[in-house]
Amino acid sequence: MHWLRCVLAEWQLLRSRLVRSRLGIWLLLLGAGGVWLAARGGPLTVVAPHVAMLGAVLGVAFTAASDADRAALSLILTHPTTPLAVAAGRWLSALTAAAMLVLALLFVSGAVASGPASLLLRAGAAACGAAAAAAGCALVAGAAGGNTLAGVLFLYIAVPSVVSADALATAPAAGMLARVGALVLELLPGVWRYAALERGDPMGWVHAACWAVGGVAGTARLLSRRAM
Amino acid sequence: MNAPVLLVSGVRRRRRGAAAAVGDASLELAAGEVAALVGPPGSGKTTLLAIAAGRLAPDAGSVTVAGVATGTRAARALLGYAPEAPVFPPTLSVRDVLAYFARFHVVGVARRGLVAAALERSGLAGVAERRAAGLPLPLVRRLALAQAVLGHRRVLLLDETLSGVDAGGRRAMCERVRELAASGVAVVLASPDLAAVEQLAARVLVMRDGRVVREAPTAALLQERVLEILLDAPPAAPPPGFRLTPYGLQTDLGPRSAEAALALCREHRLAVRASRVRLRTLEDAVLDAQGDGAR
Repeated sequence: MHWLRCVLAEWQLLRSRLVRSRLGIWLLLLGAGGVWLAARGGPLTVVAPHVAMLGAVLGVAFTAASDADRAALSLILTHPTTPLAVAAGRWLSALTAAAMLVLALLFVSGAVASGPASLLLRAGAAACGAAAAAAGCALVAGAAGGNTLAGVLFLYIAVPSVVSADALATAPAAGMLARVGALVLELLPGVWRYAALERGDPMGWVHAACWAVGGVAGTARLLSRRAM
Repeated sequence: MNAPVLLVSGVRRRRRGAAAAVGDASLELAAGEVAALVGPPGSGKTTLLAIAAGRLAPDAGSVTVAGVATGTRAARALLGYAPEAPVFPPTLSVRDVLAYFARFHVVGVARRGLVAAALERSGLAGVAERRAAGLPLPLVRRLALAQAVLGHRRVLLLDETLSGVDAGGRRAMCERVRELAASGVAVVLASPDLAAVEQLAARVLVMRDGRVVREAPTAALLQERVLEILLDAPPAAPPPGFRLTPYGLQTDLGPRSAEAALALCREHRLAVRASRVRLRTLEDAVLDAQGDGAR
């Protein structure tokens, strides 16, 4: 119970970040972009995970990866909480931010396009899975390299992660660079992989779960090592 | 002495990054006791406190808080730490900061009461809705103290918490520390402010180059008598037990009488123009312990 209370303490920081930092505005802009893409014919099962992943990275950037947040850890960890609870709470914050964004996106898109409810549900589930993975990855990146690395991850998810690793590896002119690129696309959370989550792709779900769990555990490890 | 609530045994740590080295430092603190760590910058005070708080790992030695190894969750529930340069989670107001930290200690309705009491007792009620990140240094210090005492802490480590605070604020914080000590909280205070140390600390530990070079009750240090002698001409070398000063000689009298010390000067054919006996200040004691280089 105490551990859960510590997780919730971190999670509750999200409210002040949404209201008192630019996180809320960025999420609104991202949501508006998602609605615009969906209205232009972008498949909701791709747009929703894409927007959710970007929202999760923004959530991490504004709740965990800034210099001030990282410096504050030194004081936070003098209280009876644990690095794992801190990491889990911050992951939950980022996931919540992304989930709120996706909910708004699906609500507006559903209202505008009046698509089938099952499509909205599948897109929502895929978006939550993708956001969980992206939040885990962004947490590790933020703990290791602050908002610089989180920013790099945001850009990666925004553009290159749309490209399929299989397509890159089997391209006719695939050189060493393409193979490295394909490996990166295979390993990191990407839109190309998580777009298949709505079809129940088991590999995609396992990949996302690994990033979510591994991201929280890896971040907890980094936080406890930073303290020493 | 009661069973120590904070026990630091033979702690060592090599210099790493900005953290100064600590060499074989030991410290025992009983419930309700206030001890002060004094010494020049870089003498290892902050590193020793960070090790005691479990924020830095020692290369050797151990620290326990009420029998629990420091750094563990149980120890962190018992030990509060106000670092030299505290950074609070950004975007939070003063009230939010205390509420956030209080969540780690108590649940439910008790938490609201704890936060309200912390704001009141630390004199922060008037700035409760201000953002913690934009507070001036004196208020940052108060907030650092307020978060350190949240919960049922039995040991308090205050690193320069009284520095940079105005006279009124310092008095209020000293009162708060006294109140906590009276309730059984053991306090270790690192401060360059010897006036505050003299007021608060029952024991003083002088640090130099990472080591505790002198440890004594404050009252004992302040009772020591010093004989100052004004000479017509400075000697080439001082008599045994005397120190050269810009105006003549100085010696700690200890159990000796002033007459006996003056007789020793006459034996060395020193022309004494005047002499006076005064009680030692804490500054004298600290500078002496730090060695001649500190003077």
